[in-house]
Amino acid sequence: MKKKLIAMFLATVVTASSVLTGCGQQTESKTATQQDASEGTTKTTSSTASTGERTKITALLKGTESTEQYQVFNYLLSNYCEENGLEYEIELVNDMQDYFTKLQMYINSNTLPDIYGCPNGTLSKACKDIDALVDVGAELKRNGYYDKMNGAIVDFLTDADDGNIYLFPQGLYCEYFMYRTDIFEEAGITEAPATWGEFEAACQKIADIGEIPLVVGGSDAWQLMRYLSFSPWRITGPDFITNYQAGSDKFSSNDSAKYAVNLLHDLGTKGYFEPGFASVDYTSACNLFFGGTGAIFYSGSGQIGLANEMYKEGKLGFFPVPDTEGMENMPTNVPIHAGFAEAFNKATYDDTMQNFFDYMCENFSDACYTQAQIFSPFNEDLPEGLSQLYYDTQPMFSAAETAWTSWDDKLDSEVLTKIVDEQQKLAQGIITPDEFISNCDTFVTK
Amino acid sequence: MKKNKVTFGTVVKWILIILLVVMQVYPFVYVMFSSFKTLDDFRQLPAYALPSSFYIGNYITVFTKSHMLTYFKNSISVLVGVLIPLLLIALMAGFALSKIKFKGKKFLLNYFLLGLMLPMQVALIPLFTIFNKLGLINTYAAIILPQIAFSLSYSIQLFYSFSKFFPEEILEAAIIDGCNPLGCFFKMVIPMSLNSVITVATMQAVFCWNEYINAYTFTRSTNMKTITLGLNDYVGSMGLTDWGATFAAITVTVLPVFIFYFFSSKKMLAGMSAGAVKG
Repeated sequence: MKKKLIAMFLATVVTASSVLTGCGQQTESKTATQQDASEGTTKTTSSTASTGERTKITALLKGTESTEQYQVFNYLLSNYCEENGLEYEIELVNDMQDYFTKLQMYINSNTLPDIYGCPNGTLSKACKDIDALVDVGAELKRNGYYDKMNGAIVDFLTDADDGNIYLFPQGLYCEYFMYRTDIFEEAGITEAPATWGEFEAACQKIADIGEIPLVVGGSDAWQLMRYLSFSPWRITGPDFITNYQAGSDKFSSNDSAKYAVNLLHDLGTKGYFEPGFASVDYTSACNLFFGGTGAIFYSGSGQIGLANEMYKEGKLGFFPVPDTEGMENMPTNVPIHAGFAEAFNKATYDDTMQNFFDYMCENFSDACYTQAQIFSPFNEDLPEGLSQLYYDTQPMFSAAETAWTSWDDKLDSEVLTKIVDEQQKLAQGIITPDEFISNCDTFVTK
Repeated sequence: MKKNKVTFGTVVKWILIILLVVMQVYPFVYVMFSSFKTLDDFRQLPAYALPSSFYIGNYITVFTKSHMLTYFKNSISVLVGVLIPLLLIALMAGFALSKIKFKGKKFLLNYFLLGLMLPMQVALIPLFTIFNKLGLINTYAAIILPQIAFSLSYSIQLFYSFSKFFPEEILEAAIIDGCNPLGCFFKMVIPMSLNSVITVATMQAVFCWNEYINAYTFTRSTNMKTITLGLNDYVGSMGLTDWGATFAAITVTVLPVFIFYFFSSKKMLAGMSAGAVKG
């Protein structure tokens, strides 16, 4: 009797564990990679059948099913995989910090998927260190798409260390200010501001008629940081932030950086941002502006889908980043970047992935315009049937050769966190511009 | 007839009680009412205002345009997968530690208690590496096993405290009547420990339902997401958030916990106090 009971118990345990494991596996094949200790290389065991042929393409992307990166890759992967009898799996992580944690974990455990979203900066460097990045630039040259790429995008994605391109652009994003035409008219502003002086004067006029001049997602680091980085970018390109990070330049010794610090302090303390801006995130700021609150909002082509209707009705206008008075500004005044960008895992880049890469280049523009409503990074004529905002904004940046320099990608996370804390205090008037400058100059030493 | 005197202390006490109830109930009421608001309501009405009409479109969106049913299925599977082995193992271990005399018993009990001091985050990377090598990533097992392991210390401790007061005479009588140890456990210990089982089950069920970090770390595909991960889908990372659908999704996900807690709270309180006073 006792033996029977023990046998029954063991049988139940074995059955339960195999059912649980089996349920989890579902139709999916096993996961990514396995470390070969003896050779120190990474082998793919997961996405392959017993014959050794690839059966599946895996991707890790930031966002949800409604975000552009997913819409583009889901479209491309589903079509490609259907044509070639493959499966695909896209892992989505919405929150930025969660995404970075997960990507870092995959880097540390050497289990990166075939395709993964990656910003050009410290994380792409970490991927390069473990040899997990395909030389995308070389691949584009091989299939003839390199010369079609927008110059500013090439500039944005070029690796600072070796000048190669390891990341494929998520799209072409240009950023600009959107403004409500009715409020501008009511405030007596006849022309969009071309300098920061005019910008502040316009804000004052809008405040005088009782409207909120600027909507900003102050709790998201990058939104306030844009106001801090516009002026140095127009005057020095990437030089100021690169030199600051290297310890060879300081806020106190760079006039354009000092100008930007004073600008952010002014905008915050003169009450031009919406009340409680420090706790408003970017999504809520979008809700506010496109819901009818505020006169000016720093946005861009990523929000064309939201702006379309208002623009068509003549309620919205746009203008590029203003000039800094008294200094020599570079001609490019529309920040252009490639979004989050995608990397291809070198360890799993076989013939199928190379074939997919070619298919992707061929169909990328179509996916950008028909699925995600973003600009394609390739210089091609805009297809017919898009909303008017596409055709009207394209001339602003079509000839741009200098890319946007994103401070939040270039700074290391420790310095970035400290500057973000300080910029919040600066915008809220808790510290003065001089205090901000002296604090930030201590964060990096040579 | 004696009239109750209203004292200053009574008034303060009632004010405090009402304040506490409002603080506890308002967030849920706010979420529930917000789930019936339209996009225009969110834009035009103040945050505390009632919806202009009881719009059920948000609930329809949740169940038709998202993967909520998949997330529900996964959360329930994980919940069952965690609770059954956890309760069985913890009750067995707690009971054995309190009733069986053997060498190293104290050491074993202290060893189990050590688990309370180990934060889950410490084990994530090693577990990820192990699961990856075993091919368990993106399976229920990868979400279930760590949860069972990390809940064991607390559950064993609770069952140990309860079992100490389990009358040994009943067990002795059963053994004299010819019942074997496993029979005693399943036929007598489990039925008589129902209150403490429900206590542990309720607490661990709430933890398990709200669990995020394991599901986030050890799953890859949408098919394997649990409810807590799935809620993230509703927050647009760089655009408009459908707040109505978000609040509807939150309401749908917290309701099962509320219902479960509502029905088990009485037994749970009984289980919590059992063993507290020697009777």
